[in-house]
Amino acid sequence: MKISLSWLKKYINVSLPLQKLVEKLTSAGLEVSEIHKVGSDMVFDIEITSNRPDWLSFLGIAREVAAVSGIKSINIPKTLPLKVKASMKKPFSIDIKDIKACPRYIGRLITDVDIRESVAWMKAAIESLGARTINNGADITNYCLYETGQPMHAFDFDKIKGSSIIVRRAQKGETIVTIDGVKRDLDESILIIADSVNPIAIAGIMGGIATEVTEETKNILLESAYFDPVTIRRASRKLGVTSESNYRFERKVDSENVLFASCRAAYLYKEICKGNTDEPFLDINYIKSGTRIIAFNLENLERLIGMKFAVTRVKSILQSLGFSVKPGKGKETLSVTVPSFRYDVNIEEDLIEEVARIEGFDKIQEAMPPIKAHIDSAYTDIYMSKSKMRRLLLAQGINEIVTITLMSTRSLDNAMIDPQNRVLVVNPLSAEQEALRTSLLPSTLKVVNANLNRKIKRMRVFEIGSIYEKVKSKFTQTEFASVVLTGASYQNWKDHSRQVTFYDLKGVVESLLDSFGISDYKFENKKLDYFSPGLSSVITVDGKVIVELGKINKKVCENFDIAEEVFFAQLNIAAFCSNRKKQYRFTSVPKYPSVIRDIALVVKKSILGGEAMDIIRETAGSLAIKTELFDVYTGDQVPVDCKSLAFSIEYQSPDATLTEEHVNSVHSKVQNELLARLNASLR
Amino acid sequence: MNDKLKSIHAEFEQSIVSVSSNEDLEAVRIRFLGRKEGLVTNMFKDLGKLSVKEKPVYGQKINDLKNLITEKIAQKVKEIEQKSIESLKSKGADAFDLSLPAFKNEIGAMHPLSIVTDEICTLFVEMGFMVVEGPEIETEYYNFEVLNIPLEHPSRESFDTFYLHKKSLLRSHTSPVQARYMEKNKPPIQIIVPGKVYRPDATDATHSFMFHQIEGLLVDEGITLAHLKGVLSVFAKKLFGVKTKTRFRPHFFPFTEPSAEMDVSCIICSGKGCRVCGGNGWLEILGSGMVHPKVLKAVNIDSSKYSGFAFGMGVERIAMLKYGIDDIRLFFENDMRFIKQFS
Repeated sequence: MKISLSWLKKYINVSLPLQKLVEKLTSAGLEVSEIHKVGSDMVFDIEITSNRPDWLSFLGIAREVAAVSGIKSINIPKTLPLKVKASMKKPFSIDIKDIKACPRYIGRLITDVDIRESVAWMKAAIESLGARTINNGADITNYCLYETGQPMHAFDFDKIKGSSIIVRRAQKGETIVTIDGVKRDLDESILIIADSVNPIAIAGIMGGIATEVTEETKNILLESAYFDPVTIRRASRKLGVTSESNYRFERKVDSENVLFASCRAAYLYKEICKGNTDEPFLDINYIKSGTRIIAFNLENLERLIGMKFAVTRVKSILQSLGFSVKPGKGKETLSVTVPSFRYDVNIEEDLIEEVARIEGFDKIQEAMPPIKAHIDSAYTDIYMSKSKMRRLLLAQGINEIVTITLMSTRSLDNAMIDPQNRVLVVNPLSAEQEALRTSLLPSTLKVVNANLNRKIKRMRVFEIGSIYEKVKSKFTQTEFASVVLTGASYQNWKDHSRQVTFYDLKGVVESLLDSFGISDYKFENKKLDYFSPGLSSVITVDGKVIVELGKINKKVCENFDIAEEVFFAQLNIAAFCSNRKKQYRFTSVPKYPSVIRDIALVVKKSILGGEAMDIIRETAGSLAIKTELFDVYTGDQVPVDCKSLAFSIEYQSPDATLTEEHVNSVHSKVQNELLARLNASLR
Repeated sequence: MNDKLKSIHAEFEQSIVSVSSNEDLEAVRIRFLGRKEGLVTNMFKDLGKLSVKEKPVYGQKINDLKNLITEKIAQKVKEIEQKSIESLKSKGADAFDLSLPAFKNEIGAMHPLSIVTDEICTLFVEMGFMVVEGPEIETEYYNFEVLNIPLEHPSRESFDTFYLHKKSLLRSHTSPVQARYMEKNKPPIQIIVPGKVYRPDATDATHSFMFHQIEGLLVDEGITLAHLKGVLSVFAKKLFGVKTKTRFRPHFFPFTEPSAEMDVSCIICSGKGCRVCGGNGWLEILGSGMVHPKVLKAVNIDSSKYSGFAFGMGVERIAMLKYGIDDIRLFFENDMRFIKQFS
């Protein structure tokens, strides 16, 4: 809301220097965002919170200035008498068809008006706020809107067919050309003002061009009404029209001010347009005015604010804001009557805020609350698991990314993510907001692509975030960590570089499993759509998948315009959290020396390294404390369809130094088992 | 005495010339300056035999000789070093080149939003708060109704919230977690809630339709606005530095009463006024207030016995101020040249 200082001074004698005034208003909750010089005047912009429609007027602001600067009262502008004269004749009629949407409508006929350019002072006032002036007929309603906060509309009375005002819902198919020259389609959701034939205004939003006040207008019908905020808001959104008028109706206008504003405007029409205001006005009013009285216990004020106030101070603050205050029941209690323009004040806490606000929050001494020791951990298990996973990934030189969880369904399709269980947004603004992700893969691939385009070819990134699914009409949210490796595994001047492989990714994943103390997991080949066939696997615990890892297939890479090989893993954080080793127990460090024996096999290429490892573990039992594969060879030294696998096995007993014979017997058993079961030969 | 000094000096000059290694040099140092049997050291011991008049004279002379020897030895150290570098260079390929780049173990860079979230949560944990999280897919009840945001409130209209279907939506703030937590836990309650939130804004340098918030809540007997000010001022000082000033302005939020916005003295200009703070010296950081009695009532907490305060802030905004980042989109583009600045 723009406020001209010279205009404001019509209602209150502002004695404070501008800077001081701005500070006081800001500390009372009227944040002044900008101050401009307009001619010899100063204009400042106040951000008005949605609960204070009464501040959307000069009178409202003047009231607040009075309160913050300790001035008792403000100058109320001149009006015609607020009393309705008994009507002798009825030159027009008002018929409200929807009293919920329009519970009060005041119509007033002003005859023999002289419509021309506005007088200089009014033009200057309206223009100082950056608004347009039209002619004195229209400008007076505008001026009163800013002055009183009540939007009004002036119709050219002679153009109203049947001299009747009907407030009703529009019918589908009806149209109106509004004063901005736009033809608008109406329907039942829109409240209109109609004459006996046509819509003549969109209620509370904009008037029609057919009944607009022009310099030819002789007689004016002045509308001042209360329209239901929700009705007006819906219509305004539907039509895509916003105005100073609907802005105020949407926030609720003061139902008592409807009359005051009408009498104020009538006064100005009489003074400025030399209009005849002798005709009685019609006030159709269905609003029951109930006064709100709140019992205000000052002990509660101290209890909530942490500061003591004198009763006299509380009284004077509330009175300066337009509340009336009487002693209440009980010693420390006041009985406070709320003025009609303060819809936002309903309970004691609202009064507490008023007192604290005008006193100034800066007057309240800071204090620290008593802190109670609590037995619960400051972090949940899942939060700790996420933090741990983040630390472990960072320690492996993998960088963290954060991506947007909404995306187009096309992105999900491009990453070959199962179209089932998708969560779709009903009201996206763009395709990029169509769906929540059901996998971390698409947004991660976008990051890879964006960096590749910037010539960053070596990517090691992870994200910790949720995926969202709709399963049998229930929504679920599951947290995962994604890991992506692409480009060089390492790079230095001595060993040069090697491209990342599946084993690099498997290494990252296994190091996480190790650090979480998860040992009873199974590694399984499993075909997933977005992975290359044969390079697609999952890790399970108790049959449940906790990690999927593999190489992103060519098609998906192409869809994301990626020419490099990309390795991707997705880890279920809740599963890591629930399967983590929760307690550690010490076992004594081995006292006796270990013996290392190597074995090199030649096997058919189809034999898996893992099978050999399993046989070694099975056969040697607990005696083999470590088995390492140290070489895999194919080439001239072995037959074409074969490969050589070389293992190093470390034997150790916790109870005794192993004898040569003992080790030999176990090792040869292992050897025999390998040869027999794998159909292998020694190399 | 004089003669002895002269001969020691002469011997030193002779031996130092032929020194070419650090080992030889150390032998020379021990011979002349060694603590037990050094020739010069021994001269000091002889001083005792002299008369009171002679003592200072010779004392000075011995000292001069000691200083001279010390200086020459230091000079020699440099010479030897220089020679060894030269000889390395002349030997060429055989030498070990220490200047080649290291084989560094990389450490990953944490995302700036994680850094700031972590930092803020830790600050509050140090003040006794617990970190709690809640779902991003919410119901209208938790996102609005329980928080005293009635149907007519403008933020309820569909363009301000992403809807999934009729009653389900993507939470537009982290406040629903307050209500969820209060439903299940009795005071004292002291929680801090980080998380993603969604608002259908058009994306630009300061708006993103997904962003992060951190919410806080403290409910107990006797909690006042003075406590709100106390805790949040400590927070501001911990986050932006001890000299940070705070200002609380009355504001409006449906779920708090009274409500306040907190400004901190501009971290760029310390309150003098600059481009970042729009010249007024203050930066708006968070919204806060005393929990509205209707909210307490909705979660079955007796507002005549308990009171509390809540606050919420945007992580991106704080990270942008703290690091001087000028475009919110950078957080979600994940350009490695951006991310690695925070490692």
